[in-house]
Amino acid sequence: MRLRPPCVALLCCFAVAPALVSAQETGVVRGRVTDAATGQPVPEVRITVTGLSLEVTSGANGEYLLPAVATGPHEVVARRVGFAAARQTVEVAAGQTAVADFTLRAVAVALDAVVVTGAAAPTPTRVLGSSISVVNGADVAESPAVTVDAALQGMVAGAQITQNSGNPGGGGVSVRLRGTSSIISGSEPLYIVDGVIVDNSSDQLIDLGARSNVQNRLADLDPNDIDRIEVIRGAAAAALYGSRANNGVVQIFTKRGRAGTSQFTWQSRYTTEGVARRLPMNLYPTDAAGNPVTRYDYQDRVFQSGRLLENSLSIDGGDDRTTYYVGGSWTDENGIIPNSAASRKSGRVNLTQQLYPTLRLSLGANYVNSHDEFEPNGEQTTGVITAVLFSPTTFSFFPVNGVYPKAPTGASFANPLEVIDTWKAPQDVTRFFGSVQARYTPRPELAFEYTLGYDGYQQEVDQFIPRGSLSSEPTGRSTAILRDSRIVNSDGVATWAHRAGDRLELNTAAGFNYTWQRIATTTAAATDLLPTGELVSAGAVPFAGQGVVELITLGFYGQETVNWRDRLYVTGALRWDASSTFGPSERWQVFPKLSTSYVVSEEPWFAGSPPGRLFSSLRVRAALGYAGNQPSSANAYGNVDSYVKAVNSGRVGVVNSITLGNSSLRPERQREFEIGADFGLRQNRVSIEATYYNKLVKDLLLFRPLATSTGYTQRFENIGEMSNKGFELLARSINLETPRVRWATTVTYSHNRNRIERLNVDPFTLGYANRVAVGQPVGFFYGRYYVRDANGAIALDSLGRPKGSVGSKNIGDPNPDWMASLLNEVQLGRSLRLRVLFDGTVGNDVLNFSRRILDIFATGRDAERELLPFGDPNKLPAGYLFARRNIFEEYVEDGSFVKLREVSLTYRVADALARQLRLRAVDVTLAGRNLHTWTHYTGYDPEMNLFGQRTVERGNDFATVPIPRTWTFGVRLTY
Amino acid sequence: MRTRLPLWLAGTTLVTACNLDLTNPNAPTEQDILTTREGIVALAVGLQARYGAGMADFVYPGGLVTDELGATLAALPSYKDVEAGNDMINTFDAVETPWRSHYRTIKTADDLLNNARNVTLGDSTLSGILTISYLFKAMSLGELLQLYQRIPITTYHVTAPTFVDRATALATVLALLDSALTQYKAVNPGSEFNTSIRAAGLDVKNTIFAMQARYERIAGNDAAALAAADSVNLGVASVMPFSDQAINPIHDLSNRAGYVKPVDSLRLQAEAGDTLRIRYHVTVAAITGNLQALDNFTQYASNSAPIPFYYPGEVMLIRAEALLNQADIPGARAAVNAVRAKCGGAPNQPIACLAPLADTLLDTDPEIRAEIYRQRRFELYATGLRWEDARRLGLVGAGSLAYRCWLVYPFSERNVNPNVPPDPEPPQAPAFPAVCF
Repeated sequence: MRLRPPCVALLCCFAVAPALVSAQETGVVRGRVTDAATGQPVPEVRITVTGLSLEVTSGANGEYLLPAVATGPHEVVARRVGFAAARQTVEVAAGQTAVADFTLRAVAVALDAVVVTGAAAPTPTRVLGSSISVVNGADVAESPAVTVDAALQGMVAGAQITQNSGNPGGGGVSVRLRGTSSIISGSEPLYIVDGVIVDNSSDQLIDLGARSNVQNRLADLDPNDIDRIEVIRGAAAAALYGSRANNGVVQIFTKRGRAGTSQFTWQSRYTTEGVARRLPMNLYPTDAAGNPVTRYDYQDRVFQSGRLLENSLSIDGGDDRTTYYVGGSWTDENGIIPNSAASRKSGRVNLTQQLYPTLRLSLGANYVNSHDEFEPNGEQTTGVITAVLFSPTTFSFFPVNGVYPKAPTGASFANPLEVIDTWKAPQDVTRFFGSVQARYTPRPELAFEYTLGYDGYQQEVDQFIPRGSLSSEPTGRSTAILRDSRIVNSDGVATWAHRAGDRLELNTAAGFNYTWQRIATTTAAATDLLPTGELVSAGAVPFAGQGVVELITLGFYGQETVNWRDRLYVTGALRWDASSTFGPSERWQVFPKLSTSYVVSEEPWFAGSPPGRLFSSLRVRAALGYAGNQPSSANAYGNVDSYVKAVNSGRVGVVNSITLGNSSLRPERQREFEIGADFGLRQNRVSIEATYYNKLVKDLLLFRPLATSTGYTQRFENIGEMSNKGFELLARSINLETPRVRWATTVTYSHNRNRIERLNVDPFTLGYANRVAVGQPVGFFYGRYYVRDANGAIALDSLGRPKGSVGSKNIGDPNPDWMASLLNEVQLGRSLRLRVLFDGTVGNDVLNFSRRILDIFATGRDAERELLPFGDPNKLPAGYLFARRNIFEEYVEDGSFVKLREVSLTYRVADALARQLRLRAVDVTLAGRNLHTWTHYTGYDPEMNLFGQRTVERGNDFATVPIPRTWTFGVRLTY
Repeated sequence: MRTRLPLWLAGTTLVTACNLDLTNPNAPTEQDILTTREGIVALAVGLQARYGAGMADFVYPGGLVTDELGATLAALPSYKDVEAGNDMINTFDAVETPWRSHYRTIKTADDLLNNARNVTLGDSTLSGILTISYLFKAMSLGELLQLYQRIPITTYHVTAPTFVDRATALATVLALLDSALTQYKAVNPGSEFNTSIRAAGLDVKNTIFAMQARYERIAGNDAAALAAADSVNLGVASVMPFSDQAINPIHDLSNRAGYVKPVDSLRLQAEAGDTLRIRYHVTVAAITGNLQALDNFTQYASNSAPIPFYYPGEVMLIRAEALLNQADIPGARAAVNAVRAKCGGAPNQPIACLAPLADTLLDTDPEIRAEIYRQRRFELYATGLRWEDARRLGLVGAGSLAYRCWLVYPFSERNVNPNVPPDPEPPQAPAFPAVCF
């Protein structure tokens, strides 16, 4: 095969890597980190030695140990988000231990936090021209949320994080960073765990009524293993990730352990889950003719209180050459729909070994095994909640002589009680994440790092519909779908820091990134099942199918950062990217970025100047960058002309696919410009980060219709443009800090305007009413509206029923006008910690399709008004609700809400008592999640979405499992 | 040595990394199909599958516009609208599907006509493939010109095809049929073609002759129609086979989807004694339809029921009509009576087995002509040909046999192709008898 020039160049670059430097004489640095105000130990402080690639983290008692530090004077730096960085110089002697204790002062400004994502190498925030969010692992682990992404709700400015349903095992979470950046190619960010790209797919394998899986694969990660999460939100920050970073990047770092005596942490949590709100049903005592009837509210039967039990044990520790983290967890959840369940068993080993003073090897391995039981819902007509909405409340679903009555609505509807009792939809996932990382630092200023990563899982989703339980499937059906997904990452980066005189420092980075991905899906199904037996093999009429998608992405990048006097930074970078999914002529794409950051407050003149009197710190920044988005795996082969199967006379033939291949396919391409400033006030006890961004996505991938007389229907092309413009604000304040009380507040605010700038195809509707049209935000609601009289009142026909339009118009927008969150954290004395998080969105509409179904089948409380006696002022004419069923304007409701997202109260048992128990610490936590929702929305919850993770189809509520209100009691023992 | 490991890993992955031309494992590419022997053979099989899948698309628009088919209560609104003549919207299935389906068949035939010769196939196999490519392209264009007033005839690798009038389209169809026959006669398709390509049930030669008869008659060429009809061996059936893997599309639309079914007027308006033939077509069901009571198809009651390319009765009636047009009254009378009296013959055809009409009832041109059209209705039920009969007899307009002359042009074509002519008629049924040509 022919090597392309860059491949050869890179091979050479690695082939000439110099030999290892022999072992030097070393000593040890150790110390303890305490809080300046409270005197309490501060855990999870990152301790580094300037100029060396050493990094450790302080333990629960605030102690740290830096092994194998070369002899001589060294500057040791302690950093933790929420505290000002502290430095001190120690003299290390061979074989001796130097002590460096730190007392850290809490600040709201985080200029010195070191981040990695989007920066090629560990970089202090102050250098970056674009904003980045960092969330501490403790906040994720302590959150009562089940999955990592749900735990980020309300924690990241500019992120709209939606839990799409209340199904067990996370319920499917969508993350939109700075608005929607694609139409049909997916808008979820790129997820990276410890430098390795991981899969977060949510493809619907079995139709459970949500048009995507009711779980996204990030649910496989155990929140307890997480050290910190970095979030970058757009192309300006993410250009180094090339053609996969349009939607931003979320990088998750897992705990690596720290040197010192082994520390055991055991945590047990018990959570109860309840339905926060129920739909009012039609329980009118008579029928339309006035005859008494018995009515049922089956919400009593299809909902239960769920429970979740979580246990985890982690051990970490190490010595001067080795650190390790071993974590294991087991969760078991019963959902709020009977017989829905989720369990996960996870084990992780992270090992870091300093092989030589210049070579560090890190290994990470995480094995996850999960089992879920799902129940159909949503638009699946066999859905449990669906059947409740669709069936007259006079109908008895209770079994008679062991036989469940068939739903009265139609042949494809099922008896919800029978579905709960006899149907099955299990999902089994076995997943392995593994990484090997070698870091070679021949000289303090030069580092080579190579990472080989693997993410592989097998997901099996089955569905068993017993014989005779569904009229449209009289002989039953058993389906088994097996997905095998593998991602291999191979990344290398070389970094070189060079000081040119006193004032100038240059940081150069160059690297490559290679990703191979294969997704194989095998389907087996059968009908005509044996009376007993649930497997496909129990069926007499089998079906089978198979699909394979293979993708390769290869990228090279170079980055140069110029640091002038540690206050002005300019970074330029270039990513050169290729993917197998693009057409050969467009294969190589270039994504540049340019950013600058200026820490004004470090100018000598600043302190005395007018702004200096107001602000304790001030930084201004600006960034411009480009990134791309690849087609979704469903369209991975859009660049080739393909032929599809056509059978005749028992022979397999082919005909052309209706989609014409496009050999000039290229990525969706985003240009993002952002500008912002970070202010510190009151000795940095208050920080404000404000950012304006402007994103323009060009070359949106869409299907362009072709004249059908050509034998083709469409072609996948780069057409269309979309913009997102918005503003983000993050304010942190340490309101009060005394030795006994600390009270801190964090506020986020963001607003985003999405607009389709150009389409080149006719407007189209996806889902029920989410439309894509030029000049409008993506996915706005489009549908029929009320005909109104001159006064704006709804026009009625001769029978007093509303008249609907024949045409359609814009009737709402699922995109919020703005989002905000408010987090208050209070530490009382040594032992009590309270955390209260509110978050909400304003101006987002929801299409309440559930209510539409209640209208059509007269099953909701509104239908009682049609049954009222004549003369009653609330009486509606018969057929009023049915007449408005196609007027979607009626069902578009304001979905603005404020949620009391999280309350948690943690009590740390007195040290003396803990010591008596031979423990380092005992924490007892009582926490609640989604405790209350303030909204005018009339359905279960304005936050859900029938269509799961889909991009355009947002804000649809249709018989989706409500998001439960949960209460959690937890105990954590540290030994 | 440990230090070499990352180098080795980096090196190996980079070497593999540089090959970014992945093949699609799910489907063959154009190159796989058009430049290989296996590909061309598979495409020839696909051509026939494609035409078979579209056979309902010719039958149901004409059936709904005339008195043959009706929409069920469960049908999509578009089928109901097409039956009632309320509104013919250019996105309706009845408007879109025949167009898309037939032009995809034509694209497949064009793929073969343009590429098969460049692949080593052997003369006899190549000849068979070229013959059916001409034949299926001709049949597809022929059916299109019975649904749409003007159609494109040159569409291969053209972005915005231009439309031609009906006479030009008809001439193209006849020329393609000539090419099919010439090719067939020049090199007899060999055993490979017959055993592993040709649809089981397709009689190539007789189908070419029958199609020549059909389209020469539509073109008004009586002598040519007669000659072609006389060449058809009426003792041989020619049908498209179906199976559970390739479902009979009429059965699919009528029974599985349950949208479109036979109107009971066929059964009720048949002459006394015509029970065998009616029973061949429909089974009494008296289903309440959207506008009219409906029956079920008899011969399309299963996934695997074959669909005839033509009925022998059609050939016999073309013969009768051509003779009549040439003023051969006795010949025409004998020919039409032969259809009535047909009591056996090849399988998969309706058999009236009626008594011949007395000479006195068939001794004038109008009498014979009326009987020919009556026999066409009952013999050729649900073949899609009735709409053309309505047009040429001037039985088009509100309350007439067909309520409109043509389908509107499909949205998928109009949306993209600037060459689409204006729609021939307003979407609503015209209130007066229409002149279609």
